[in-house]
Amino acid sequence: MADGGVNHEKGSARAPGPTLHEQLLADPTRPPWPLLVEAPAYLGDDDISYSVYTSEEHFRAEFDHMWSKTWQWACHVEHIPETGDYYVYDVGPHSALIVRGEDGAINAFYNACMHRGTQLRPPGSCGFANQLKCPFHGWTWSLDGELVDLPDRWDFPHVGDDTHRLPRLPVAVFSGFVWINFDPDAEPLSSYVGVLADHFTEFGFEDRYIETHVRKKLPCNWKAAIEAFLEAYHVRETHASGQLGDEVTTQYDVFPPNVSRFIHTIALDSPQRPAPRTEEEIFANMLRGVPVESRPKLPDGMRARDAWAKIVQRDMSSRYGHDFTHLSESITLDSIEYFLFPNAFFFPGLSLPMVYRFRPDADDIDVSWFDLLILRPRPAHGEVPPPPEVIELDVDDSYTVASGLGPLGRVYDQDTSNMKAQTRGFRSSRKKGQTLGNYQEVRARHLQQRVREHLRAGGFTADPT
Amino acid sequence: MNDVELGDLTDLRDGTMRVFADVGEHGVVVCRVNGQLHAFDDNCSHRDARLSEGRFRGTTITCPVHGAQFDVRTGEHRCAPATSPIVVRVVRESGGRAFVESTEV
Repeated sequence: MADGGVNHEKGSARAPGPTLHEQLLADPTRPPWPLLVEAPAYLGDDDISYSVYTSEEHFRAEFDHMWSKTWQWACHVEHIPETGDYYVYDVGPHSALIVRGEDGAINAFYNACMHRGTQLRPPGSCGFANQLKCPFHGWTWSLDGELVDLPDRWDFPHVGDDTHRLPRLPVAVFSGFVWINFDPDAEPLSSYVGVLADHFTEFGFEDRYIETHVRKKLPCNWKAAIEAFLEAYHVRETHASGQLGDEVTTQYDVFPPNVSRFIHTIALDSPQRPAPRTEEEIFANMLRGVPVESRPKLPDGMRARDAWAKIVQRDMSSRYGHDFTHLSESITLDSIEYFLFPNAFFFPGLSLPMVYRFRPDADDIDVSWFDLLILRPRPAHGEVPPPPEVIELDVDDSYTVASGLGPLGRVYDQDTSNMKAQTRGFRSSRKKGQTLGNYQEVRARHLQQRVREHLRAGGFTADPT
Repeated sequence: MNDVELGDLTDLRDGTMRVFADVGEHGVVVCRVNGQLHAFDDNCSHRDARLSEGRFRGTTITCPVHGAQFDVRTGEHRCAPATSPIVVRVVRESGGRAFVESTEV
């Protein structure tokens, strides 16, 4: 259906050359089955109105109808290992107080005193309490939410133990993290996560600990921040030379309603590269970070990807005391990124083992908060290190100050510079919406559609699209 | 400036703390971070409460009453409801004995 050179067919959903799926099948070691699942989706080609990033009404509606209804990871189980440990998770006006109870079970409460509303614990705090005592008048609850002390009880004949226990909100543990939902009637997390319940059985997230935790203030709306990480289309221009051939072969999947994924390969030449590199050239590129004198030679007849995977496996095996040499090349090297709406990313790869979380600022539509975690395999011997202290980065602080990120720090900096420019452009553009690629940017469209569905379900219809 | 001897603290492991209730007005808590001893008065700056009954993790002590938090190395408060630091004291180890200064830092 051509129209002035415009074609609204859904397109091929494939770049020229071998697909990522074909690349995985060509690896010597078969990857875990979830990586061989393909779920391309065409979700339409309408422009996404910039008002979803700039409208204050939209911003408030998101808090009212979306953030209040969706599952979000609040903390890692290791943040609250013992009875009395607590963690406060905040998003906009919403705040959850997550407590390890007397019996070791995890409770989540609305973080507000049942007397006059004072938050029982400060935003973002992580600590310990014998009981949950309000700092204002001393009303006190047990770790399980029972009202155990009310000073001058004679003045409150209208307060009952049942009417004034701390209201609970849904809480569940999945993939080593504690998840909460501010909706008391939320569907169970186990169904909300969809395919992740099966896919993640292959990846062992619960056997990992947090090695590095960075929290960065970003100069853009939370959706723009997330969208910067949902596609690898920007890699050629933002992270490489901009020349054809410097893209990465990527597969994009959507698993409705809440999950999307990309996988992009590492240490393979792009099929689009006009003059393919030799395996030696690709191998040399992977060894950039290794001192010249200790760079190994590529074994005869071996692909760079396979040799590099072996090196990474041996290095990680010696560092963490597990045998990783049986892992597939893909799980060892590739950028495998699962997204769970609205704001969680999980990377199961061995050498790219990140977890992300993005949250809007409570007040500023153009500011968001990015939690960037590096997870590592629990050591085979000895104690699991406790969660590290958070490295807080302001808008203009470079990620490179966080040594735990290694060379990734520079890559994240390159992403940040786009965010400011895009945020200004939302308001300076003559065209009033963004145009998305049907395949490579489908995950951004999926995010936008899920937000819109929640807002419409809540009765918000100001969205012009 | 008086040094008070606390005895042999080589068995006080990283991430653990011990309270010496008869040192100073409130008692003194000694803890170890990355091999280094740190000491602070056993009294929350927010309301009088014993920090030694709270929990010590990493570099942070959390008051068990209202959740005020402090950096055990510097005494600085890390979150509400505290608005001021706690008192920290110089502590040193010498010849297998630990000593804490009884004057405030």
